[in-house]
Amino acid sequence: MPVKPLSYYRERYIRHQPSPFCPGCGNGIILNCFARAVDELGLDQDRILCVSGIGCSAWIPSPHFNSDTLHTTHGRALAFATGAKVFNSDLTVVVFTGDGDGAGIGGNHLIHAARRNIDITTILVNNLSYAMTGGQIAPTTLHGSRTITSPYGNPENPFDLCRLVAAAGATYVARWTAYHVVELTRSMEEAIKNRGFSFIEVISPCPTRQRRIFGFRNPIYEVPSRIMEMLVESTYIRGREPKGHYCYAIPRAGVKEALEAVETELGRRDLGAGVRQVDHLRWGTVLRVDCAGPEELDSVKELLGEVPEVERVVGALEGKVELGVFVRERRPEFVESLREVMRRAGGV
Amino acid sequence: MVMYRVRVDPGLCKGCLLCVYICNKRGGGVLRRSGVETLLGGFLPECRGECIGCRWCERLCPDFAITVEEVGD
Amino acid sequence: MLPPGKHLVLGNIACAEGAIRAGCRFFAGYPITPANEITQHMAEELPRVGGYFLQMEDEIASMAAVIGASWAGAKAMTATSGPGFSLMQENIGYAYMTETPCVVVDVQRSGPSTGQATMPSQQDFYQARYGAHGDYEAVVLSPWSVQEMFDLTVRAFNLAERFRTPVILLADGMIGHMMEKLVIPEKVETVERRRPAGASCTPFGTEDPSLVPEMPRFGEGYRLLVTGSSHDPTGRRDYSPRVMEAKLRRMREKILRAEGEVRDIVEAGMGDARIAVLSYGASARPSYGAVMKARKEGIRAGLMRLRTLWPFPEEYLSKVAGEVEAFLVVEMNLGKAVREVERAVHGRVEVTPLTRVGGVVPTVEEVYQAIRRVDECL
Repeated sequence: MPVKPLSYYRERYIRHQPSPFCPGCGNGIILNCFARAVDELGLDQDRILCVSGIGCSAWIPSPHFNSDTLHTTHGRALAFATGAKVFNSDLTVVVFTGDGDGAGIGGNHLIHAARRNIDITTILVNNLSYAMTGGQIAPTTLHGSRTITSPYGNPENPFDLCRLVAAAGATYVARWTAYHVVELTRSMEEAIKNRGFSFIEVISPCPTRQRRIFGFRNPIYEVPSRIMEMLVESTYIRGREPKGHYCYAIPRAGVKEALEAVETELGRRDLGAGVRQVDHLRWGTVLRVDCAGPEELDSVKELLGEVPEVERVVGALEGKVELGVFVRERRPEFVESLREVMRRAGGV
Repeated sequence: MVMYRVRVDPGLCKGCLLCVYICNKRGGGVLRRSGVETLLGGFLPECRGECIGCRWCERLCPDFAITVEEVGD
Repeated sequence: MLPPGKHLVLGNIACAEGAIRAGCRFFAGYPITPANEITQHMAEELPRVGGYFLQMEDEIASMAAVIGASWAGAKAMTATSGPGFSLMQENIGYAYMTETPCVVVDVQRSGPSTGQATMPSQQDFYQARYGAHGDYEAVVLSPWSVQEMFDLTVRAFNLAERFRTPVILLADGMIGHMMEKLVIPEKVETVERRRPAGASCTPFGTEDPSLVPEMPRFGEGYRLLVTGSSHDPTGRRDYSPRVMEAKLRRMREKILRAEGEVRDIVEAGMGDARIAVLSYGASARPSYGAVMKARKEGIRAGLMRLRTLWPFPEEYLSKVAGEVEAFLVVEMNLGKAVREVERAVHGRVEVTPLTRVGGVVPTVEEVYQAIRRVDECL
């Protein structure tokens, strides 16, 4: 298979560039992955229907993907898509939605579409807030997060969207981030091939809003990379052991003071451990301490426990978001069941 | 030996520098922030050194702005 | 489906039968009194004719599914009552903006809110016209019998296809839940939406004098851009005031330009009438009886029954105002159509409302007494 340059995908699948997405927005990356997945599957572009709601993610297909697109009312993409898919089941129907659009106002349609197990692939872009409208709390915003509608910390708790949709009955459920482009592209192929309701949550960088939410004071052109690195640091892939032996030290107050304290302590005990500041989705800006092996890690953990500037020591995977494919099942598909209804009714 | 050249379309690139990030993290480490500022306050990337053709930058580019071309030896 | 010929059947069933004969092959609905029999009949009959019936999770989803199916090529319908009709409004507005042909049946119940679920009213008169936000031109029909629950549903589909617009069938709980004679014709005349001729198409703009653009389908390779955002004739988002205004004025004009044909008024005794009794739907039935009774008593009254409520026949009424000495507007609400009549009449003659609420239909006697009171003041 000849390797295709990005220009190939742009010319064949993308339109109306440049998009209005902010620099470093995950939406463009997801569009990139989607074009590759469609190309890899060799789908007939004339029979793809992309349906989207209202929000930044809605613009991924509408207008930027070159297929039939239906840009609907806020939260209702899946209901519109259901009507189109039922009436013309030859269509490959893909719904692009956001965490607010899909699990906030659209939550009811999300769980019912999953319950029906209708052959529709839903790609939910989770940027942890209502980005287009200014960065308000979303059903996925972390507890305590500061957004423009939770200036004193988010009092709510987020959904685990994958478990929610799996419980509702989806037969393919996966979660990736916009960093994991190879896994995400393959997952999109699997989702589209799945004859039933497929759901992919993509945790996505949103430099404009997340810069404020996470307090990243860097110059604007550094923020996308900093968020991307945080997504890598804060997630792990199901079934894969973490590379290396490390833990995190949560500073009691300033991260700088904690870093110095830990460095001097490590230096005094000359334990071959490296310490650096990292951003963690769950714990915030903390210290990551990497050790040569498991024994060193145990002794480092003990040592960190005694450093006054360190409030708490956390294990490598603790508080991280699990990525991967959570559900792969076979169950009767909704449109097939409707055809069975038609047969029993003696219809055409 | 196949060589590669990286081309960036300044009409599409918003200067997010994700290509620089991924090139230095998983690729040949040749992309770097250039001095050319984009409309939105970012900077165009530039290639310093020999691109190894891994195409990670193409994978992560949100704006379809970067292309790795094979250049005959 | 019921065979051609005479039947004694429920109004709601007649409505579903009319839809199927008009070519409806997709229905999405949600349970609500007093519209349930339409949904139930569709569940039984659509699969038999190769159509699709969906019960959705709410009325919002039902309206959304109807629009999605319409763009996949279906003649599609939903049926509800007041509370559901309120929930559907945003997506009905979306159907206007995207010029999506579809039929929405509102079997009105007595409101507001939960109100008297099993009892009729005509309180959704303005909601059928102005329920969604923004500017658009509505087509709203009003049946007064089981036969018209059939006939006007067929007409609703044909108007929807012709003008590429939603059409509201504003029925009510009495008409929907009563049984009456229904004559089903051998053949029903149907209309199909304008289809694109060539490979290229501007789904939201046209040079055709009808102002109704061609309507492509998903899956035909047109790479459609269908959006509720302001868009240009190709469907591409365009927020410029000029483009949006052109679209709104074209969508309005495509309906008003054919107002004469869409207008549908059935008159009785208006030839020599001094008093025009104007009514529609269920309340027109006792009004008819009262007019006949009044005429027998020598009172020159006539009935004007609107079968098309919107676009409201202002021009026609203005002309009639020059020929009669008074209007009596009989409605099952606190006075809605009467306001439109007053507007059309410009104060040239007296316009008197007869309003009945509480879930009851006015009686012949009540309307007759009202006619007498008006007559005495002439």
